[in-house]
Amino acid sequence: MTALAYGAALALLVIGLASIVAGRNVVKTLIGVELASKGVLVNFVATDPAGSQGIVVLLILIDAIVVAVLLGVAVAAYRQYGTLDLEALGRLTW
Amino acid sequence: MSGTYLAIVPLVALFGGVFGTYLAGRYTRERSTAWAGGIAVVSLLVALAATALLWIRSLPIEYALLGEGVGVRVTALAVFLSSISCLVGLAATVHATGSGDAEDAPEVYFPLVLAAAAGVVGIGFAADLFSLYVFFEVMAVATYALVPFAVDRATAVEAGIKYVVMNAAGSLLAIFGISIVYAHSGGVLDFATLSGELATTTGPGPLEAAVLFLVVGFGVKAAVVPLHTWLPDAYAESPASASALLAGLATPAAIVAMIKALAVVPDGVSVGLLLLVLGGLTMTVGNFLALGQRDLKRLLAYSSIPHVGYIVFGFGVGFYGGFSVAFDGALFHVLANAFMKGGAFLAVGAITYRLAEIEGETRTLDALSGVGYRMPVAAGAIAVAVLALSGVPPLAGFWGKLFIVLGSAEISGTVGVGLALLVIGNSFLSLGYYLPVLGALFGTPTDATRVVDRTPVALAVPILALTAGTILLGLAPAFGLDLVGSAADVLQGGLEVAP
Repeated sequence: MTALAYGAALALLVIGLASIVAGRNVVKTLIGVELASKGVLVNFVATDPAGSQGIVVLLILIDAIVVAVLLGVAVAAYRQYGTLDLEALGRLTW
Repeated sequence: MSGTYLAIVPLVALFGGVFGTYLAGRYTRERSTAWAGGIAVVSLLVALAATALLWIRSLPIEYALLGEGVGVRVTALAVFLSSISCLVGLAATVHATGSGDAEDAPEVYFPLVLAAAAGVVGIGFAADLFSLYVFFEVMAVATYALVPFAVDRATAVEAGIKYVVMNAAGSLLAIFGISIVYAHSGGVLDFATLSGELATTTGPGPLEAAVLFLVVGFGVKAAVVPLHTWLPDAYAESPASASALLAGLATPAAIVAMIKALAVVPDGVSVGLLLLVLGGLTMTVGNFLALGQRDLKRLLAYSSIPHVGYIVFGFGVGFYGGFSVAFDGALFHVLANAFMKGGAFLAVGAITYRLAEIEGETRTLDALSGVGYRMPVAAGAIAVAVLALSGVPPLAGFWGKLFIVLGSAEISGTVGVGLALLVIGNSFLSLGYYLPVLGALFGTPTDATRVVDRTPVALAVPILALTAGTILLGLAPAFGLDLVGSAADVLQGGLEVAP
């Protein structure tokens, strides 16, 4: 059961990161960030369901803040460029 | 080891300042920059004074927040980071009050600066791996908003989105690494026992994966090559005081956070070699990237990358052979970097502030030619900082590099000599782009630089303070080595607390 949970955590992380790297749209990047952070949560919960409660609650809070800031910057970018396409913004490459 | 309230005063002062500056910026007449800036300065001074008081107590001091679980542990490393954070924060705040950086929204700008400083303080104070991440994230999120602060400038927003996306992904990798450590140690994250706990676990497999996640994750924020691509844009496009905060504080603090997380890893995992290779790559690539830059602020931004390299390289040498001199050198360079880079970015800010009044935003070396005759304070500060950054002897940048070179020379055989020569060669390489800066600042004046006003007093004060720090630290390195040495011992000892 724990092995399954760890596998799920890793899968979520990989899907999330793939979405961040491959996604051209800022919203897809955002979804990737969210998915990957849920993978982290699964990892913590799988290890110690009772002991990791505080950690998980704090992590959810941090995720919310990061996503809020990312959305804010995305809105600012949309106002400046009129698009959410990362490649249209210029040199956003890895 | 005694529980004392003093241990949380720096954090409380800074987080209190976050709310205080918001209220002052929001509700005073005409949303006054002076009030918000004043409150920010006061809270930073309180934090600095508390840090100084903590330093003369017997360390480590522990304090349990919210009863048992989460706590802060004040070690020499915490005092070290806290002092740097308050000093750079003070300089940035005073500069932001004097220049127009915070004009549009003082109720947001100063809280963000204080939150970034508080995050760095927290990185030092964190007693377990998870609170280390939380404070790292506080620092990171504050800077996410500082980079695109000029939201009506398209390039700033572009730099901001690049910065936020890359660093959000990096943070996720870091916390995933921490979750692997959590799984591997069976739910233990407290630094006091973690390294002992990890040493007894069998099989380094998951731990090696965790080390990779931690290095890559924190490495994005620390701008380790090849994860540095956000850095030049972010530094060049953010307001001057925010650039100083990023270059002097946030990026080096991210390296220290990475090292603090890696310090608990037992010897079986070759952390040192990994950091050594990454550090060498970072300084060499960074120096080549900086060559040929014509925009002064962008040049300084690029030149931050090799300094990340020197620091990471120093820690790598330290982990590799357990040489304390390399740890000292790396941490000393963190300290020196705060003064050098902070001073340089603030001085560039002062010059562009004055030049913008005459001919709009321009920071190319040609446009700045001869500005040194009309703005001797700012240009002199850049000259001192640039010489110090390239490692000219009686200045702060020299000693850190010297200790790193000495450390790498301790590795036996030709490898050690080669590594030492790599650092020295890189220092000479960096003169290739620092000397043109000096040439430009004191070259033939252009029409604009012939009539430019002098450096404003409010901007000159923080610039001179940081420059004085660069010179003093160079003339009397023992001044900083006291603190640096004890902080390095904490890192080298795997953050264990003697029972």
